[in-house]
Amino acid sequence: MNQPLPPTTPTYASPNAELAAEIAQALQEAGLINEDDLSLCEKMLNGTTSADAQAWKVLLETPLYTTTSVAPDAV
Amino acid sequence: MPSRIAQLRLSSFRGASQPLTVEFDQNKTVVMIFGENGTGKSTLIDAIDAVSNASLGSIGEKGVGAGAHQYLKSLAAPNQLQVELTTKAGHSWQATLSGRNVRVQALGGHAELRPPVRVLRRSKLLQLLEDQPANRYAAMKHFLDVAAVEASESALRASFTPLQSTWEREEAARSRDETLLQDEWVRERLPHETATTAPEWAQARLLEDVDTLRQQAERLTAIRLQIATMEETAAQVIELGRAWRGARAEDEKAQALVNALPHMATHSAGLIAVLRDALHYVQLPEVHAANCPVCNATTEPSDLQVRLGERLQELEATAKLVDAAQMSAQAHHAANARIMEAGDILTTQIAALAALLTVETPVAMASCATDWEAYRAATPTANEPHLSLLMGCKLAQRLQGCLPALEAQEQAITSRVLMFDSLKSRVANFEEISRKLLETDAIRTRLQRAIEIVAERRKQFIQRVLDSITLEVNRLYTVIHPDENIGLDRLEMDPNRRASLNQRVNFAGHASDVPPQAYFSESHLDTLGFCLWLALAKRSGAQEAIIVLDDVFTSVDLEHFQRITDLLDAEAPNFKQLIIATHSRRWYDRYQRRRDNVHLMRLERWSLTQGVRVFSEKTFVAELESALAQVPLNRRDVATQAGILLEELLQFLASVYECSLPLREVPKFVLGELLNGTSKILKVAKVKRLRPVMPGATPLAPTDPAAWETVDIRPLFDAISRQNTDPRNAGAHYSVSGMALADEEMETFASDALALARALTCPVCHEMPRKVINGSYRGCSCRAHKMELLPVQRP
Repeated sequence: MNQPLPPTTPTYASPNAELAAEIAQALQEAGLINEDDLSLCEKMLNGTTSADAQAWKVLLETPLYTTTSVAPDAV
Repeated sequence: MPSRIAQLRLSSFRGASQPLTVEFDQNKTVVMIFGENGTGKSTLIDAIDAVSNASLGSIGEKGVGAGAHQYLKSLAAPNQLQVELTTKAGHSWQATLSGRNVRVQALGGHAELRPPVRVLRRSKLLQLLEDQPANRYAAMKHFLDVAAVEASESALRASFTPLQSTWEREEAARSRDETLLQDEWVRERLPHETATTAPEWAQARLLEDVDTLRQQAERLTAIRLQIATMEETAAQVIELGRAWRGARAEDEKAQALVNALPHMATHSAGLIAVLRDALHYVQLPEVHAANCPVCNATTEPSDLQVRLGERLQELEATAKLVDAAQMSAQAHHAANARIMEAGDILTTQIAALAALLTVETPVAMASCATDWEAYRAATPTANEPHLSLLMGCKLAQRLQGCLPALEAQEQAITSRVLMFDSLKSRVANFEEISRKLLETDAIRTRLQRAIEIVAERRKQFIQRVLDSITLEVNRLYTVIHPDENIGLDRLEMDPNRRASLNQRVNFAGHASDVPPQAYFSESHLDTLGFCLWLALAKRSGAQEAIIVLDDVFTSVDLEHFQRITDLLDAEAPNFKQLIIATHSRRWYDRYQRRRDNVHLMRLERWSLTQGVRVFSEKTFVAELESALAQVPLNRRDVATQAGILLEELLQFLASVYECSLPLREVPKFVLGELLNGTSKILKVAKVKRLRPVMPGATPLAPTDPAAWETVDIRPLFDAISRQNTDPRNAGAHYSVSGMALADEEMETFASDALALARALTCPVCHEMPRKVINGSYRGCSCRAHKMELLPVQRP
């Protein structure tokens, strides 16, 4: 039986972490969060940062930077 | 990083009634623990399970109830049970019994994690397939547990729900205001208004100059009030006029009576006044005059008073007329004064009204223009000294008649003002609530979209994981059951239940929601359960897991058995260690023949006094080496071992190179047939191998051609082929030809077989090369790249 082995399957030591990264990216691509908030959003989804209802509201209320505007951190 | 199990020490643990130490070969991925039933295989597996998973092991699964822990200890053992596991890296853990549970502690104060060990027992083979969906989910939860993401999803919903309620309330309010505005538009719009919607109409209305309207209304109010006041004053004036006329008539009448008195009498009026004054004077208490105050004649005061009284008595009739005339004159004068005063007030009020009308005369008062003119033109005469007042009163009365029309006009203007105010308030409310609605809707929509994305991605993620598990299960299953078109169709979360995992199977191309037990044979179920378990173990381990199979396959047929063992050989590199406990001699023989990367252990019969007995089993090469080393030579053992080794070698080569052999119902070949069949390949075969490094010498790099030497197989094959009879017959008591062989010939034959075996096996893993590498040579699977077998194909 010499059939080739499939590529090594990645370990899902933390499915949360993988899914959190995927969702944060999707939210950003959907124009719901700024790129600057990507990391925060990922941590909220992954449970490493407090993420109650108010925190989510605040995150999603943050106005999106337009292409011509400047991110606050850069100001 | 987890490492392989290197040593297991048992004391008073289940079948290990005597202290037992088991060493595991660290160079072998596969460890086979072979033993017939009742030799202690499960004791060893349970010991590994106890330390690695703090588990009661197989005893916990046999329905002995809550007291299962008490059976872990060996029968009649005086000491506490104890299991110690040491890894290749030198870390040790010890399992003991603590109450009803197994307690595991690290030895030596290290903080390493225990190796991840997954144990599969036959009793659990079908568990994943037969379990309730919730239990199936629990078994796979490790890959599917996205609790933190689910918590975020709940938090998002908790944020969205009140916002949605607010939005609904605001939308209802906006809709209500819109309806009211619409109704107002329908009700109030005027024919000349061209607005086509209620808000358009309202906006146009709000452009109206409401301040002017307010001033108009205020002015009309003031005019109305002024007219009302004038009317009251005029009424008073008229009343006072009547009184004045009466007083004048009385005055004229009294004067006429006085004027009608005789001359003397008329003079008497003055006399009466003098007399009255004199009487009044003398009656004063402080006056005690002895003389008349008028003529100064001497008199008695009392006489004077009497005489004055008598004179006045005589003039009484005249005195009354005179008094009445004086009173009438005073009344006349007073009445005139009052009418003049009221007249002044009325005149002032009329002037004030006229001032109000200078800005604008209401239409309702247009009919009073002539009355105004008459008032202004009135000139008092001797007969009519109050003519002007009279005309003023008439004007006031005429204006009184205008009040209803004025009130209506004022009411109309006030209504417009009120409506303006109402409209302005409504439009402001409408705009405010519309603005709030927009704000609420913006964040509401974003939250809703976020929830949709999170939920959708979570479902996709979980399904992706399940699909990849399904794919791997089916890949493994196809190896065991090729071309049967059966397996797992789909694993999916139950949409109506939390943490519940459903399975669908594919049976002959028909996907079905029914459990696999409905269609699959028992052996198909066993292998499906095994493939599912193996796929999960593989996925969770990331090549770090140690998997342990405890007598899993007991009743599969030869064909499927070979496929299963081939599958395990192929999958072994995906695990840190693969430990197989079995009583299958077929499996044991396979590994003893093939010697691939396998550590063979054999358990001998168990007894209470001896406990579990473990022996490391030798491969055929090792057994032949041992037999040859014995003095005196045991020719039967040597003949048998050499014959078996040669048969295994040649049969392997024949299968790898697809050599021609006689076709038989049962494929069993004698040595001569195998030599003939493989002669073509063995006559041309060469082995390239790395030269042994001499002590103290620097090894050459494998890329240096000088590091390699080439060994021709033909001389080794020729040496064996030169034997004029089958030396193996020397091992058979019935063989006359075997008896004719000398011990030296026997030793030569065995040594030649050993030399051929050594030449054709990897010095590292002792596996014969069979894999075609880059199409240029055949190599073993240990990847040490110590040797290359040529050619790739049979000539």
